[in-house]
Amino acid sequence: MKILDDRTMRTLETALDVASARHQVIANNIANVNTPGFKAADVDFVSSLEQAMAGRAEPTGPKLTGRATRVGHLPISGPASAGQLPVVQTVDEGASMRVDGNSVDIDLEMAKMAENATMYNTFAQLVSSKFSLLKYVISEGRR
Amino acid sequence: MSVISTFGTSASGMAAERLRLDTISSNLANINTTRTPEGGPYRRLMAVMESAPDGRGVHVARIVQDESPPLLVHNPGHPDADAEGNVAMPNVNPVLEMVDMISATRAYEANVAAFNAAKAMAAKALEIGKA
Repeated sequence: MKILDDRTMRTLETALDVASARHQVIANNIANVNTPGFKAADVDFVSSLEQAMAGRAEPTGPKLTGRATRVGHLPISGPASAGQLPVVQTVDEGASMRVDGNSVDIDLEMAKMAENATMYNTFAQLVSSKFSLLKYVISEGRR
Repeated sequence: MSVISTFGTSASGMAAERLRLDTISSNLANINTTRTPEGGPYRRLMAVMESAPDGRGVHVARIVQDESPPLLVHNPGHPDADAEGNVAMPNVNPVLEMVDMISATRAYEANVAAFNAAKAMAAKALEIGKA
């Protein structure tokens, strides 16, 4: 078993990524609360996590490659832990009660944001706990 | 994609709502203005909101004038009155402006809440490994 790169850690990392991606989408909905014709989007947390984990579970893993802005630049690549996460987005195209065609429900968005922030904090707390467990073992249980 | 990048999204919402609030205060300040550089009474300004590409927030595409006709008020003593004694007053409806103002203020607050949530998330992520 690897100490740091085990399944729990990878799942938590991915969950943090998905939660921050979801926050981006919710923040965008809130920013566009007064934009005529804007349709609210959401990130399906479970499907996104499953998809991202499937991508990361491969032995080699999908490589994230750096974009060369000049011809002479050396190619860089690394594990797909940073950058754009492929998330499953849904767009609410349903009927809106507003005349301007905007489908953002601000109460729903604020509730989703609170839920998502709590989930993010939970995952961060779990990563923290995992590290303290490792620390505890490394210091032979003395602390 | 990190939590930090969502600061920009919320900030764009705040900036757009503030600009909308600016047009509203301009409308209210000029509610009795009968002379403008373009001639004629002041015309109500409106901010046109447009969502930014790639789900990165919002921006004010442009500020347009309300082309509805000016309100004619009978006031023969006014220096800008026409031959029939009517003065063309700005097409600003104070009730509409107040409602828009509340809407802009609340939307601004919602963006602040989203910003603070992102800030709390980032702070929590920074705590990883501390305890």
